[in-house]
Amino acid sequence: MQVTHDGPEPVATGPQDRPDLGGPDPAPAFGRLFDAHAATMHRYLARRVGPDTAHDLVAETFLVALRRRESYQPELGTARSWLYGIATNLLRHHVRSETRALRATARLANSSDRGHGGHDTRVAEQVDAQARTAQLAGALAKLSVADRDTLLLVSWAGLEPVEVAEALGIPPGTVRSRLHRIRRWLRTNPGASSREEAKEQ
Amino acid sequence: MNDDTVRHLWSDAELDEALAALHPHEETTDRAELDRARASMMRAAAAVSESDEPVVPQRKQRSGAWRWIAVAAAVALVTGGVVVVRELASAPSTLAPAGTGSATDGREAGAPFNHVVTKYSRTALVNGTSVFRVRDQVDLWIPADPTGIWKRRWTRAEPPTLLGGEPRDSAKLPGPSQAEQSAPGGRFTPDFRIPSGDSPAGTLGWSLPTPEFVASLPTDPNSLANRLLKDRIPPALSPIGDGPLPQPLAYGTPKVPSRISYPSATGMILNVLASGYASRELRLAFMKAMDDPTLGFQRVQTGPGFTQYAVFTGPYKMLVSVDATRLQLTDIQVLSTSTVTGFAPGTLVSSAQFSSETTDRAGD
Repeated sequence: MQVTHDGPEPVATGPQDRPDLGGPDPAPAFGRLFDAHAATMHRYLARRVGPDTAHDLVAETFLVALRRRESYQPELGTARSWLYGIATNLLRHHVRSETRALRATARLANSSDRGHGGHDTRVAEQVDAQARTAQLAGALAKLSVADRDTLLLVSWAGLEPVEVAEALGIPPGTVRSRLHRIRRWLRTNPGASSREEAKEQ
Repeated sequence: MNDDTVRHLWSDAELDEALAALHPHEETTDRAELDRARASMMRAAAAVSESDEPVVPQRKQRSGAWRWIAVAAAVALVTGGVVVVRELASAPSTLAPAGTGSATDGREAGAPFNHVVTKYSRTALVNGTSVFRVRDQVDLWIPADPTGIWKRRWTRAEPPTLLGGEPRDSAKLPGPSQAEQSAPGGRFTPDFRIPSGDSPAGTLGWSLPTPEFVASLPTDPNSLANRLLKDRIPPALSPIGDGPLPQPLAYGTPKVPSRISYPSATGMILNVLASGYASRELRLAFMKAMDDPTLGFQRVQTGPGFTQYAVFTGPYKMLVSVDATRLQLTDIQVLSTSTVTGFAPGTLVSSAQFSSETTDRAGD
């Protein structure tokens, strides 16, 4: 199964994705922005820092966006990428708790699979998937913040690489090469990461 | 981990499958929470359109005029009688693309910062007859890594406002001033001129909370309430002025206006909420504690995402407002309820407003 995005389907870009936010009455435009993006943004942030903190971050993201709306330049990116750029900055205050949660997931998944003996194919597949989850969580915890943002904005938030580039303020080519490097590392090193996690227990 | 179950090389599909399975949180979006956030944002947006705030210029106008805007943003800071012109940094960086925070991308080390702003307003009595309103502001920049360098700045820039008496008495008031302090891990020296810095010695912790102290507090609401009840000082011994509000001032006369006192648990709670150090979980526990009337608060008003409490203390009434969506203390006002204070009942004697935002630069 090839899963490119676990987040929402990519949205076709058009004038509605690059609204003019500089008018005297920002309420209608921001109401539309909130309706279009708040729920999906919350799901993305909840996967990273938990649902409660995610609610806080969504509220803060839109308030910051409103306060700083003059900085949005439609020709430089979609409103969605601009909002995720703000959310990514706010998320930096929660890097430690995110890393702790990933390590905890790695430990939990590691410990919970020990009772299974792999008696049949189905159980073996479940154990294999669980092991991969543990490995991935441990590996994500080891990524730099910038690498983790890049990967998860694509995989979990459903942003296109060009939107990630707009959100992070880096060239699209850098996003693509960074994604290639991260995915190659995750595909070839998860076992080592997981064993190191196990040693830390 | 059983190595027999682990394949050390994954396909792209296996990696995507693992990513999809990690922390799915499929049913975690609370519609009511989002509705509250939306309502809060729409109120702020409506306030923008109803205010006198200049219309945000269109982008094309901005692109040609940014230098003029930057020049217009220059501020004159008066320090020790010397006027220093300092140009403000360009647009706040929360909007800047989210970078790595390294020196090479232009962001200040330690960024992003949580910039906590507290604006104080208090009365100053001169010669026992003239009354002025004076304002101070304390800015605090907390780095993303709390063990990094914190910075805070105290500013008294606005001229005093005459509330009653002789305008010439303003000459007896201290002039504009500013002080800054940096400290690793937020361990500032306690003599910094924050308006409530006259808290009595021996009550550090609840009176002047440090990051370590705040981090040590329990986030379980019951445990926190017990801790508050255990630590609070009996009313007979309660220190005057224990709380995050500036006290009224007196100049040029022995006559001292009456002081604002707090029930000790009230001051303890407000001090921590006003410090900017409390996590969301701790703030939530404090909000729950504030609904316990034994700690001094009475809920008087509730709106969408907004709660107001009253605290009655001697001849004063204190109104405390919190943003229930963000779990943030937003405003405290102290009103006179009796002429024994020297002010007519209903007079705003003292106030403080609290806000915060994320920024990439500390103090520019």
